[in-house]
Amino acid sequence: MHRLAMMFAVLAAAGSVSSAAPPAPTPGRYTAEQAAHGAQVYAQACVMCHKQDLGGDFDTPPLVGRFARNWADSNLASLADDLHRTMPQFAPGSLNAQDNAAVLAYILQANGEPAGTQPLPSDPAALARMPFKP
Amino acid sequence: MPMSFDSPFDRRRLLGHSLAAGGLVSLSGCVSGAGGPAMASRIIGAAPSLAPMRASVDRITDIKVCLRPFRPQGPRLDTEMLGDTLVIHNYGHGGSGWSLSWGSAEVAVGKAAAALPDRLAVVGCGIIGLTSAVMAQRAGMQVTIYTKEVFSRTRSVRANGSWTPDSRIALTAPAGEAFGALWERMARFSWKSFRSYLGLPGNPVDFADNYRLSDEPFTAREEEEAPPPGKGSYASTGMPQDSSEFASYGERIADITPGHEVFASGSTPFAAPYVRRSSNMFFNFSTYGHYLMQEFLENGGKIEIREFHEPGELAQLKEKVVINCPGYAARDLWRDSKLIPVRGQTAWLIPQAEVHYGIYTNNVSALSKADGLMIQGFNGLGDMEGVGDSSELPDRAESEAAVEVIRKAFMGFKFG
Ligand SMILES: Cc1cc2nc3c(=O)[nH]c(=O)nc-3n(C[C@H](O)[C@H](O)[C@H](O)COP(=O)(O)OP(=O)(O)OC[C@H]3O[C@@H](n4cnc5c(N)ncnc54)[C@H](O)[C@@H]3O)c2cc1C
Ligand code: HEC
Repeated sequence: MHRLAMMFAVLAAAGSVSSAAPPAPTPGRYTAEQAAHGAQVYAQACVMCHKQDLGGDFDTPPLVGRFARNWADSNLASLADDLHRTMPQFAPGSLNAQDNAAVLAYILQANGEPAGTQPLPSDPAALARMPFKP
Repeated sequence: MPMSFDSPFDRRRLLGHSLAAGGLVSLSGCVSGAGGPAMASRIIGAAPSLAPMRASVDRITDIKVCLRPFRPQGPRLDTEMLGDTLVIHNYGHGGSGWSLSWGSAEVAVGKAAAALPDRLAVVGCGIIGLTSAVMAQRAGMQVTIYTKEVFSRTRSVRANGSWTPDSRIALTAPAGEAFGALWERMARFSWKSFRSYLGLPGNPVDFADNYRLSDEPFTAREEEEAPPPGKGSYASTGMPQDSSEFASYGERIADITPGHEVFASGSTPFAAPYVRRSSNMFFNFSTYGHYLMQEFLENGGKIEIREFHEPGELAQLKEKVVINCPGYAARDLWRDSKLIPVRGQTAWLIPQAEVHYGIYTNNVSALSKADGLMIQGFNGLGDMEGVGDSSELPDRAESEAAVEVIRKAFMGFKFG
């Protein structure tokens, strides 16, 4: 059931299911403004490898689709930390905490998670309480 | 940005044709004289000595007919829910299914993975189903293929099997702008994927030189004339009416597409006075299929022979995420009336291991592959060839005529 609901959420995000998508479980772990800022960070530091649609290419993994499966059993602290330590690949660690959280918000949005009223924190302890899939 | 004039795509743009097969040259109304000297990258001297093709009708071992699953909108890659089952479509790749298979599988598997299944079903075991299954395994899923027929019996192995990524893949207008970008992503992903099969025993994927022979010099041609007024179009008739409606995206990958060389007159073993050479990738069906099956089975893949009659039957599978790859059969299975059959026929002659090249002359292409000397004739209709023809009955006379053209091309051939 949980999976099915998520399937709908994913499809709805992809625009493939027009109606009847059940309400998403826990909406809003980031704000729309934060994701918009994340989109700018992405356009500057990530798009050349991960591509416009976040689909990656043969040499770069996608940040949607398979990506969701890779991180499904982890929490956001782990992902944020991984991101900060390894990306952007040509300058790992160069994103400040705010940009790192923003680009993560953008990635969550691209994976079908809706925006809410609280910004995504950058505090690892808080992020550790958030599973990748709410 | 203007293209350098030596790219093969100049010809295509000039002629308004698609980067087609066999290519190499092929399909497109590559009448003698088409193409251009101005676009030749370089003029070179002697050609290597070549073993001749032994083209004669008594050496025909097989005639294969296949229907390209053509959708004017481009391949179907959308998703739908059937009850509690997520179906991801992956069919309708026209004359480009072999070429785009990996990239298309990557797109479909990405959509499947987002639903986080541990187990996945794939319907169909043609080149699209098999690559989808292998890609899903590479992404960590347990995969079962449900199919009416095993790979070696599918329409896929009745194709030509060359790198022809935008051969009858869509019509420009119905496919829309966005499809060009998706096409490029699929083509590039596939291209890189094929590289890992180069150099393996049995040459599952290989490159060969292709010689284009002509009685007249290769000259640049003017823009193809617009179709006569009143002929109609896909928009007005529901069927493409002219080659110019077919999409061509080759320019997007000009950076990975080899150019061609023109030989000085009389410097090749062929009697034809004008000869041009290019290189193209192609697939040897038997070994390539074998490698794919081997990877699939080694990773715990299962195959169940099963025929579906209604879409709803997919919802009865134990896997709740299904990638649907029935090829042309989607017209029946999914009642997809957008699928248009595009007939094509190839003759297969006894394999000639000593021959490792292809030729194109007088609307006929011949390519020496591991499982036979493949000869395919075209009637000069360009991309309209075979459109709407759903007969899979072999036409022996058509193949014999094509073989005759190749036999004649080797008259006066210089040995050694
Ligand atoms: C003459 C010719 C030349 C071509 N040359 C080239 C080329 O040079 N390069 C290139 O890239 N492409 C080429 N193509 C195109 C290419 O062959 C096709 O795009 C490709 O084979 C489509 O593969 P597929 O897996 O979708 O379909 P198929 O090979 O038809 O596979 C469909 C699968 O689904 C199964 N199936 C169907 N219906 C059902 C059902 N109801 N229940 C269960 N299972 C079912 C079938 O058994 C089969 O396993 C050519 C095509 C033709 C006809
Ligand atoms: C120079 C190319 C490049 C750039 C720029 C780049 N990445 Fe990456 N990224 C990669 C590659 C390659 C990998 C795979 C690394 C590996 O597997 O070791 C990767 C992996 C990732 C992963 C892990 C994916 C997974 O499935 O686990 C994330 C998340 C990611 N990148 C996010 C980003 C973000 C966000 C940016 C911009 C701030 C960015 N990347 C910039 C090339 C790049």
